[in-house]
Amino acid sequence: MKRNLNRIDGRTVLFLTVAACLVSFLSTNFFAHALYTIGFVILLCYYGIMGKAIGTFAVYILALLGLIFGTRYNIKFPSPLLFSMVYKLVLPMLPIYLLNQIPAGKLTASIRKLPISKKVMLVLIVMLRFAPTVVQEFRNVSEAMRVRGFLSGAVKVLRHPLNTLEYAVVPMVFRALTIADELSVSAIVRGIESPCKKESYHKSKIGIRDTILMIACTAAGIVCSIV
Amino acid sequence: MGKNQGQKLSIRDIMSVAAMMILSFIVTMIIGSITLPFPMLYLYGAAALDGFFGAIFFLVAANRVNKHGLLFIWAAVYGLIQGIMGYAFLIPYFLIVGLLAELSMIGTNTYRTPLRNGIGWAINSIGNFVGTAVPLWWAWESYQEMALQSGFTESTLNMQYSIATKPVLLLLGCVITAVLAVLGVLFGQKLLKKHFQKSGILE
Repeated sequence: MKRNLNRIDGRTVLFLTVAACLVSFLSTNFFAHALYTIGFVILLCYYGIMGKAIGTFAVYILALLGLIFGTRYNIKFPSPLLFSMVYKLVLPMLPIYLLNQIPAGKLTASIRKLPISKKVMLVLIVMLRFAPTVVQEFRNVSEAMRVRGFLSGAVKVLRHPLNTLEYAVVPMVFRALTIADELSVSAIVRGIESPCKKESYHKSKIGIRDTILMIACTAAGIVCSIV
Repeated sequence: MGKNQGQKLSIRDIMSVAAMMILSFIVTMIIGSITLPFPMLYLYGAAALDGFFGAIFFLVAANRVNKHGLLFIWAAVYGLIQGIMGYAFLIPYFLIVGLLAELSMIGTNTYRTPLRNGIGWAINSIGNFVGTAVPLWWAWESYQEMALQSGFTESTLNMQYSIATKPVLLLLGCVITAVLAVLGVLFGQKLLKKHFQKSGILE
């Protein structure tokens, strides 16, 4: 199923991401918001990311229920604001999963065709590619801290919060800077600073499938935002 | 030291800034998730805590890149993210915040001067705090409708409205944010000397 991903253009997924963000924060109707989210869950299943899609949707349902009950029965803790944030963030997360599945070269080739400056494009690509790596690195650092006994208990963490922060932040920053250096060296070797027109191994063309997807997403988004 | 000043951002600079911004945004999201269940803490403390923790990443980027435009890019990207999330009118606001913060950094080698970094970062953090009140000044009615639909309780909204309309409360929030941002810079500066400058990663 994941081979279907080769047929979708990176710009289409970027468009879906922006549309999902806008609909998530403009839609005020729970039912319309849920329907739009279900649409994205089906889309992810079609592209072979079924496990993550269903798991994320389960979180969405829990957050929505928490929000509905919290506001209806005026539950103070946990605040409905927390559920609101989770429920609003799940929808944009779905196309972001899709974006992360697209090979880096294909995504770069697609974004290169957008009418944006090279520097903004670079920041965009680095941020998109870097986020999962940083999360993984954060897990590794937490694991190392736990093994060394720095996270052995809440009391210890609360007694020395600045020390704990230092132990967590310093290796994270070191790793992030190393990865940033590696990425920049790799990009320079591949000729990113060259003023010549860039070509790519990956074809980047918006086809009928992409057009249909974008039109359907826009139309559904408009309906969900105004109902 | 300051030979980089005035030059354009290189690929390495862009990568370093993007890396530090991602770390900072992840911390912002964590702080948001932790403080959201406590509306008072969220409204008065989230921007201040962001200012404290984010200062470490900002200082690393500032000392590494040491070129003008960094604070402007930082605020502009933050504004763009807010814009994508539905608050499009916050984009010009954050551009102005970035411009003001950047103006405080005029001079040579300022991104490696702790005092100037403290001032610039405090302006940026105060901008983030005041940013929570901008939607209210801009369009209170529609914001209220949207916020209530999103799960904001009446009391939270009233508190937010008080921050925006009562100058004393607004000033109190600004002072809390500025103090924590400056403390963050002091703590970050200590980490910079202890770890990053010693190891040669930063000058």
